[in-house]
Amino acid sequence: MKQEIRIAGVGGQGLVSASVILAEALGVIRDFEVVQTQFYSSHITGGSSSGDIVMADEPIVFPWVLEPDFLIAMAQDAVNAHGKGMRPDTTVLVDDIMVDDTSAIPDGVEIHSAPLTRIADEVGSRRCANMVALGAFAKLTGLLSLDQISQAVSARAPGRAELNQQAVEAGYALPFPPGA
Amino acid sequence: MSKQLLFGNQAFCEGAIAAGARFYAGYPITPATEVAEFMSQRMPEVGGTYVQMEDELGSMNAVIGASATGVKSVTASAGPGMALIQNELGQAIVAEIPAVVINVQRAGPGIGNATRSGQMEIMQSRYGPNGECPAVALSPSTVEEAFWLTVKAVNLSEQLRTVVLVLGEGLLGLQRAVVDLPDDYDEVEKVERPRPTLPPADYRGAYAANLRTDIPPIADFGSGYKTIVNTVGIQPIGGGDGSILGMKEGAQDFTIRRLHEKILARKDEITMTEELMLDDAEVVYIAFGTQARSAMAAAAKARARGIKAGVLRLITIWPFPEDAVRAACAKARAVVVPEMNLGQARMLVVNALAGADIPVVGINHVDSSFITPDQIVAKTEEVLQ
Repeated sequence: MKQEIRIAGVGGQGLVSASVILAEALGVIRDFEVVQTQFYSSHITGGSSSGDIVMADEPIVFPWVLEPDFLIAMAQDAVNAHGKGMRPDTTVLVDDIMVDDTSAIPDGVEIHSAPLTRIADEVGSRRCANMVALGAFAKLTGLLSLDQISQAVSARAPGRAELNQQAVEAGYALPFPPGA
Repeated sequence: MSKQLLFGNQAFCEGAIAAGARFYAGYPITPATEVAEFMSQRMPEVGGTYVQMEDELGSMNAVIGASATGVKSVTASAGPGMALIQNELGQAIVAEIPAVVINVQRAGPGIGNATRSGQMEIMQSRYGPNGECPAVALSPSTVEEAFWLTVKAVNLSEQLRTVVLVLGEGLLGLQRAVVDLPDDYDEVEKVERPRPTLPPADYRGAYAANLRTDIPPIADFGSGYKTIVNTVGIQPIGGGDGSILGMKEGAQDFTIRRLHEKILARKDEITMTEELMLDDAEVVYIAFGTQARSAMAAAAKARARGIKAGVLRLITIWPFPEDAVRAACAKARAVVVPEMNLGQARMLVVNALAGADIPVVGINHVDSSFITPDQIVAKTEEVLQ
């Protein structure tokens, strides 16, 4: 089993941080082999940015994401850049506050939409939309329990623990079909 | 051993510390900045010293000075920072001061592209400093190997009394992976530089060597021995007093050749490679660093298509593992060298295979995109036609 996960958006949304937390949860807490990589442009805020994860139950030879099995798209740019060429068995989670147009994503791809950024605003800070996304990811994929993703948030982002935990819980509470 | 999610740039730091490095001087530069950042936290924790320098020149000079006192010393840089310190690298190499320099390679000449990765300093590692400098350079391909090769680099720098380069890449320094490293660094092998056993009055080791393969003992500054950071180079016995005025006929030839031969005489211990599916390989991928991962994935894909592909991964870049290249390609019909530059390693492979009638084809990315396994397989099919 090998899964490629990409969290994409623009600089400033905390996507690399989210991918590090996810890597901690999958690699250290769930005990998968995990490699996390990141790509960002040098102007940081507002430039395209992504955090990528390859997870497997065997040693990972090639560490980069080529064709994501799961894409979290937190900005329109992310859909435009990564949407086309996706395989029909890909799953996409879209923040529909930040993404208006999903037509770049081929027909047949499973798209789940939620107002991740608005939920983050309601929790208390737009900056924790990345944590809402992680909660939603855990729910959708069934790869992580709420407790497991919460543990990883505590380990990697102790600074604003309470707010982050609330955001993760709000994401996990979204009415998505729970993953297998 | 315990599993942890480790950042590539932190793996370099932990490797250096595990091998006993206790001095770091640096100046932040993307994509090596986190090496300085982690060292600024870790050095005080392990009883070492961290100095934030005014620039890379200062960093490398501080490393030379600290190492001369007997403390294993490290710096890291990238791109223009590596260009700046070429003179200091040469000075450390000729004065035979052990030091480790981690180059987290970024892309492009001059300032280049800070956040973009490359493998563009293969030749700089060997030919960057003036005056026919030797080089020892190691190229990790995973986060875990970044740790172990930095341990090895510190140990080799001590054993050989020279500078050892760790050729990282942005794609590795900014990568995280789940690794299993020793909890107790006391269990990690540590090599110490040769130190004098003679009484201080009888010691002239800092500036005398008998044979071209000798690695004379070096006394720590401040230890009671007469010491010198000899920028002219260590002379043969009777060859002079360590100054350019005292240099005798033949001393320069001896000095330059010895700097190389002390390393080449120990080449078997230094040159490391990994062989994958080479026994029956008709096509050999020769790769290093992060791009070796692409070659390894490509070999599996090519095999699935009935192409007998194998990989020679170069762990040591300098001294260049020519013997391993020749052995790996003994039955090859073609060699493919994927690298993120315009063919620096390919040139070395061609040189190693001189006289053999085998096409050596490059795949060369300088746009900072990694080479995909499919690109390597496509090139393989093209070459075999």
